[in-house]
Amino acid sequence: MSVPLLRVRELTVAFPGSEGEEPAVRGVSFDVRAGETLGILGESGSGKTMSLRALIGLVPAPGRVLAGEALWTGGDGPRAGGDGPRAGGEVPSGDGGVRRGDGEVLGGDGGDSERSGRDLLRMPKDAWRRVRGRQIAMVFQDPAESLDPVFSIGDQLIEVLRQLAGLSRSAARREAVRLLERVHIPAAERRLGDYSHQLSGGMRQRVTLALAIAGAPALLLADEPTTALDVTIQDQILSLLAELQEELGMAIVLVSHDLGVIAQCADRVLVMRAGEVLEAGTVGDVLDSPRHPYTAELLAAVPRMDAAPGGARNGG
Amino acid sequence: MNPGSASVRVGLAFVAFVVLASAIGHFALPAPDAQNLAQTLAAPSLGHLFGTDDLGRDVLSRTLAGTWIDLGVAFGATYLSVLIGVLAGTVAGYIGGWPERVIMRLADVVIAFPFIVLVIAVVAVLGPGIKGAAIGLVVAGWAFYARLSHAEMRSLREREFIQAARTLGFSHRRIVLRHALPNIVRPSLTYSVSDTVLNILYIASLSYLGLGVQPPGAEWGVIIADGQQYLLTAWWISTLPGLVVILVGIGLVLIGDGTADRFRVNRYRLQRELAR
Amino acid sequence: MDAVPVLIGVTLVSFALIHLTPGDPVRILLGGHATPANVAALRHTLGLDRSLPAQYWQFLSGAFTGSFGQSIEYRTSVSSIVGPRIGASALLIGYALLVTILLAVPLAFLAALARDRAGDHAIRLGTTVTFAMPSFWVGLILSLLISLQLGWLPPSGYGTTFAQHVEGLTLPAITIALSLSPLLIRILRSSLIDTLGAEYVSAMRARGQRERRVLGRHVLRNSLTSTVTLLSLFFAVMLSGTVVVENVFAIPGLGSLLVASVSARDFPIIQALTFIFGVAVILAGLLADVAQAAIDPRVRL
Repeated sequence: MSVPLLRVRELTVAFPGSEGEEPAVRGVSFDVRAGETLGILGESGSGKTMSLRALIGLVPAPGRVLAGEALWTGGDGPRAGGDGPRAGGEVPSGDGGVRRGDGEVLGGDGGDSERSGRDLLRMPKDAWRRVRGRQIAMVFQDPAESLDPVFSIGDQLIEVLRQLAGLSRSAARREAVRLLERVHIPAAERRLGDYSHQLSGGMRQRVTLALAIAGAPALLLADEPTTALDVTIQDQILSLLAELQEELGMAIVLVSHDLGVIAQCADRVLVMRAGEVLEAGTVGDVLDSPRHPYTAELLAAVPRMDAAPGGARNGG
Repeated sequence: MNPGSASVRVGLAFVAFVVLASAIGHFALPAPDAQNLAQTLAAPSLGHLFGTDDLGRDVLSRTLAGTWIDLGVAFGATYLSVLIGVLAGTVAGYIGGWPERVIMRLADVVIAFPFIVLVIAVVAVLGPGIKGAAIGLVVAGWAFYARLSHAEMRSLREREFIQAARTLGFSHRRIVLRHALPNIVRPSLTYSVSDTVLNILYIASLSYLGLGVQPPGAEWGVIIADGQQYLLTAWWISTLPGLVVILVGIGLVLIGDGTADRFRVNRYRLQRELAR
Repeated sequence: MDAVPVLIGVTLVSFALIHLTPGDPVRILLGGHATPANVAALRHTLGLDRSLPAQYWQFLSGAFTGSFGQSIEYRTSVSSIVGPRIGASALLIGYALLVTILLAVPLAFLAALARDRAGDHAIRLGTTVTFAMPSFWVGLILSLLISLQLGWLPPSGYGTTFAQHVEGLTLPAITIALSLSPLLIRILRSSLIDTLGAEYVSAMRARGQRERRVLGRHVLRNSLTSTVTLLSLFFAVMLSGTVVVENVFAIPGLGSLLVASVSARDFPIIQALTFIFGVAVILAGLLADVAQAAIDPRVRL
């Protein structure tokens, strides 16, 4: 059994409140395995977003991480063979080896590196520069707010590519077009000069995904990536996510309050409420036979077409 | 401790200190216009904490006497502006149509002028003096509050609770007064405190320029203007009174900030909730 | 194009000043020389015996060609008095704008970045204290310390050469900058904090982009639009500032002329200056709109 990519133990994040510090995340623990999708299900205020932000070191001031450990075994050096997947579907795995499209790991230091990871919660600022974008990336909820409105998307893509891989302007431009094509934006070359406000919601989210995967990260943190989108577009974006995950072999932590999204995408799921993990397990287990009454409530609250009126509805 | 209330308390303390000092000074110090030609241009000493001016008058006494005029007129002008502006803006926003356009255009024109230019124009029409200056401040000042209230009213108008009140048959007047006005007035009141500080400074400036309170009246601007010719020889006349002005000003700003902070603290909590 | 009615309003107000004054405008204009013959003659010359709309038209057409009639006090055309002074005021405003930007923008940035920590509090304390200072008092203090005691700069006056102009305008410019900066710093800081909290900033950090780049390129550019808007609003405040400061330092500009003509009740000049000031503010606003459209791709004229 391979070592989890990320091991989170007792993560605690707090914000100053009227009576001292109030925890937004209380002692949360979970594992993320390479290539899997972990869903975090919860309502607003459950602490799911803060958990994610803590993992990339972006808890907004004056909040801070009070306690816990987030052991990252994915490596933090420059990837063997540059960024981006190679022709044969091979992708550098975090520990210096190569992972093939079918999931098998070749080379690297394999197996027992339980303690040879880094604690993300205690990393110094300059160490983050080698991790963010390259090993761990994040996409946010509102694509309209995630892109700088005064620069074209081409500019933003090129800037990220030059930063991550030191490419020249023209090489970065070519790669930017390639990235846009990978997220299925038609007429990619022409789109480079567009600004965020000229794109539809779905297109913007594709662009933010392109920006996030530019460095071929091993872990993608997705905070409600489809919440701000129309239902039909949601589906497209989730399929795109799955596709990119397959291509890059990356793990995804997907946060959502939408049961349907979690059910569709996640392999395993955590249910959070008021900063705590109430329940964890595979999606099948948790959704079919929830052990915690809160989970049962959440499930019952989803209106179903086959229930009698007022039947399943009155659960929540 | 709530940062807002600390601010308010310190601010109140400063203002109270000056007001108290002025009240005590009225009895304890020589009269502001009492001349003493034997002691002209005397440097600050225990007998005359701020020194004396070219006519032997006690500068501290004159300065403190000015407190009443400056504070009084400034407060009056500010809150009269608030009254007129909020009423005009609210009515304009509620009624709509051409009254709205006329009122707001008028406000636009007023705002187009640099503040002091408009005040001076009014003083030109009415003649120099404290009355002209005060009226000028109101003529130039109402427009800002009108704009503010108009914007608030417009956004409130669309909100459901106003429409709900209409369906319940409440009269226009009741809706505006009981439901709309309390919300609309709040941002204006927040600004009004720092606006008062500005008005104090404007009155002093106008008096300094000879367009406000006229000498031999004891007013901060007048005193400082009188002392300008003696800047090198009797520096205390023009410089020390400024400290009193600043003290009052800081006090009022702190009060204003403190009350504004209370709104900000609540908004921060909301932000934090959403951040999760 | 909203500006047009406001422009008209401004001209109307300037025109109306003399008519709003209690008393007969002609007698006011003549002051001590008001014999019946003079009154009738002047009334006719000035066209004050014509209908109000006709007078307004005369005022307006004159104004746009730069002719505002005759000054009562100086007995020559208003434009010959006002004209030379425009340069001094314009130079002062430009200089003051420069100093204000150099002072306020870095401080606002520092305050926003050090939010709620020592640096922020120190800056806010400084702005509160400075805000409460009357501008003429600041001017006098600067004059006392730097000119009279240290002798580094002239205490007043404008000089004849450009170098002397700059020398003479330095203290006035600093004075104006000090009165403007507190409010500007506060508002700018607030807007910067908003920008810094924007999601795209987090997103950029999450991609590992260097902080220096994020701040210097993206945050700065985004706050430029609000800065430009603010500066155009502050233009009006700056003009107000020149009125007082020109008097403190005896600068021969429009501001000192305005004050002098009020005491002398020289209405043609007062009207001309009110007109000029009002139009200048409107033009500054239009200029700011154009600048915004150039900077922000979301804005289209």
